[in-house]
Amino acid sequence: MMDTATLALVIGGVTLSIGLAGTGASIGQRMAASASSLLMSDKPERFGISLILTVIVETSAIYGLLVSILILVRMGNVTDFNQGLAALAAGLSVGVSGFFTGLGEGVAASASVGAVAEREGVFGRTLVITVLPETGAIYGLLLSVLILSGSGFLGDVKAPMEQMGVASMYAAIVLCVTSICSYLQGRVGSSAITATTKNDEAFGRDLIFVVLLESVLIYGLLVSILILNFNGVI
Amino acid sequence: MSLLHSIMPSRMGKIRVMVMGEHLEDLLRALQNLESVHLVNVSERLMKWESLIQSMEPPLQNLNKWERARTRLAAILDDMGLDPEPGFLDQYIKPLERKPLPITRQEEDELLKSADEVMADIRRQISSVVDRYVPVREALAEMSHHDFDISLIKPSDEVTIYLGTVASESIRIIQRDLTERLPYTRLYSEGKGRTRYLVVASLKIHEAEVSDILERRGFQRIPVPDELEGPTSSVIRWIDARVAEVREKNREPVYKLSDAVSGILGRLEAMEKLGRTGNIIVLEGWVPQVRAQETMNTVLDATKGMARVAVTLPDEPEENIPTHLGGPFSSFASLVETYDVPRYNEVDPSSFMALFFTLFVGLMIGDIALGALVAAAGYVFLRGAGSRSHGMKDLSKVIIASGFSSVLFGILTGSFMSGVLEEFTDGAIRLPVLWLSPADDPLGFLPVVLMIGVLHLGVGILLGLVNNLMNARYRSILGDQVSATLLLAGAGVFMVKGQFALAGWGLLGYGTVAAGVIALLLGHGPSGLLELTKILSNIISYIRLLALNMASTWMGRTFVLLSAMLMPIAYVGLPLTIFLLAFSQFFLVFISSFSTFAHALRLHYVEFFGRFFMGGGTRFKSLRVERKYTYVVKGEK
Repeated sequence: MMDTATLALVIGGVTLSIGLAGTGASIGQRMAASASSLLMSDKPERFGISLILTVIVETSAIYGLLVSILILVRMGNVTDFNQGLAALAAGLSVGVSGFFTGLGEGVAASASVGAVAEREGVFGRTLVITVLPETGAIYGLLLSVLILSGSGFLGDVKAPMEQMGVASMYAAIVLCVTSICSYLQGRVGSSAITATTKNDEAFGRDLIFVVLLESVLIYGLLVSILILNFNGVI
Repeated sequence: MSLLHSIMPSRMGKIRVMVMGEHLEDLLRALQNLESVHLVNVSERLMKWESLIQSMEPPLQNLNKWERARTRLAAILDDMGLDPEPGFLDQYIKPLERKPLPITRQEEDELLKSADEVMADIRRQISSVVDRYVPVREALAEMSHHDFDISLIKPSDEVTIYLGTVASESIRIIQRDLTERLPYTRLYSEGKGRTRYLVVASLKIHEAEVSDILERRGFQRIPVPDELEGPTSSVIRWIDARVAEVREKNREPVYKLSDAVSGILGRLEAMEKLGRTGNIIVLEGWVPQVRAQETMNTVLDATKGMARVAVTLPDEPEENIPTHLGGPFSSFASLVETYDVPRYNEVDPSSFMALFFTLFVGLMIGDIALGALVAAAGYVFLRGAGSRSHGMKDLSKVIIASGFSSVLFGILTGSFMSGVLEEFTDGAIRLPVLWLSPADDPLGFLPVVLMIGVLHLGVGILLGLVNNLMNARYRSILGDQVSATLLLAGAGVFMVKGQFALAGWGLLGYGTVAAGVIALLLGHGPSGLLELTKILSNIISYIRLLALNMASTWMGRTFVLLSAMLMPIAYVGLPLTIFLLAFSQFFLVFISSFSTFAHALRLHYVEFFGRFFMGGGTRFKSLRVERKYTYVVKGEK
């Protein structure tokens, strides 16, 4: 039987996961949807393309929803306060990274809608740049699943309970802080999309600039995994 | 050497042709059909021979004449609806119904000779049928739910009827003006959107005033021809039949003439690149060496031997030679060119991209059902969008290959519809995991994806070495390839040590990394140390292969869990479960395919190409006719 504090942490994980990721995705989608609806007055025939660019922003919310459901479905396995802490860490990880990803993808997607309004042929290139900030949410999801695997939600608990809870929390905090890169990546991506629309040949080089920002996120993920690994969580 | 050539862009030969002026048309035509020669501008290269060889200007009159013909044909195609724009979904999934028409050179010549008459005749038919009836037809279609007799909107001795279009915001103003000034006038409007159809009936004596009110509000009158009689439904059918008759009668000549005009314009534009001295025309260009003999034979055949032709090895700087990415993996060449065109003396990464791209997508999707759906979607695109554009045909083949790769990894990882069989049979039916299950054993899979990353980067480094050797940049080898190889090897040693707990390998790893750092310092100085973080982030970046697989699998499993919860509901449980499971597969294909394709591309464009790609080449553009509607009958050159 779970005590109230543990239950609060588990439900907190569920809430943060979908709440934060959903908020980021909604704000991002608002940006893309506004640009798309403006485009409809001039070029209604590009409805399909702008719909894809608007819908793609929602991915981070889906990741948040996924972790929420996983925690809810498996919360019967929870017996210890530290498992609650791990659930909160898992929710925080996918929630915060999803929040920044949603914002970043929204900025890039609205620029992409502007680009396809000008020239339909750039859709493929702009889609690649728009999806790049999603790396943050993907890594957030990865970390969440790793935490849930090592904390009794999706697998067995390997580390001592106290160590598992604290390690999961700090691993999540590292990734949450570095996932701001996804938002910044979206900002740079929006400039890159504008440049690619003007000159197709700029695409390759612009892509490098967009991706440069991601290094910090990758280091964050590495440190998070090392925290979990050195503490026996995974 | 042949192994090296197999990973380079097509080797080029310089083709030079001198031909008598009277055979020029035949020569250009034959080269257009052969599609093997990339012309270069002779005039820019022969400045020192200016007094002997002048650049050749195409006859301006001709150019203008055929440009006008192209515009007229485009308008005819549009007016007759012969080249309709497909809807958003149709353009991807619906195969092009129009089959290419066979055409002979003689037929093309005759059409071009009589082009003006043919176009004038078609335009007359359009005026007498399309322009005369179609506006009325559209108006009637809008009002067809009433199915009234068309005589009701025809004027009589006492009453004038106006049928036409007007901006929606003007309708209320017109109504107000008519009601205030002419009480015996009636108005009826129909339609949606910004332009509406309007019918106004007034007494003949008020004709001038009504016309004045309508004209001031931008009313566009549509005359109703006298010969139209009967209920609107039968009038619409009659008009449709007449329009279809005109369309069918002229479809073939319009299509054939359109391609013939594209061909002649292509030849006239090509002339700008030629040189001439007296009656001798000089042509220069690039031809893939494998097609050199065929091209020379074609030149001699087309000019009846009245030409001198030679193909020599390139004698120019690399930047002047165009890059032609061919080979068995040409479908992936368009993905390479989306990034940039490689230089002539640079590795063509298409074949490597074919291998790794399909591997990556397979790893990321890794499910039998999802993979089969992706392959099926690729096949639908191949038949639909592939019938419209070469680019989409290539992309469809890439999607199909990726789908099959996903099926293969689904079999290896024992994943079918994210474990639906296991869930619904309480574990009685479980597909065997032949290799590893990323979702169940992420830590076991993590070193695998990192090793794949090391391998991918290693191939990139090797290609970088080839590029540096081909371009005689020997000094870069130490700082670029030797250092990166040592660092990667060090990372590989640590991974193997971690996997198999081998004693003594730690020292070997540190030693290799230290040697890599020294090579970096020697090659690039202290700033080269940044490469350390770059290579680290490059390797870790491949974790996305695992992350995306887990994202897709866990999303799928969540859907399966939710479906299982619906199952016990009385009566509707089973259909709801089936619906949710089917929906989840399509949803996952939609969401996963965009992400996996974008991230597989990114791993190539950023991590892989970053190790060797120079870019900035010139794309090989052969002299050809962009045939949209026809093909030249075999044997016709």
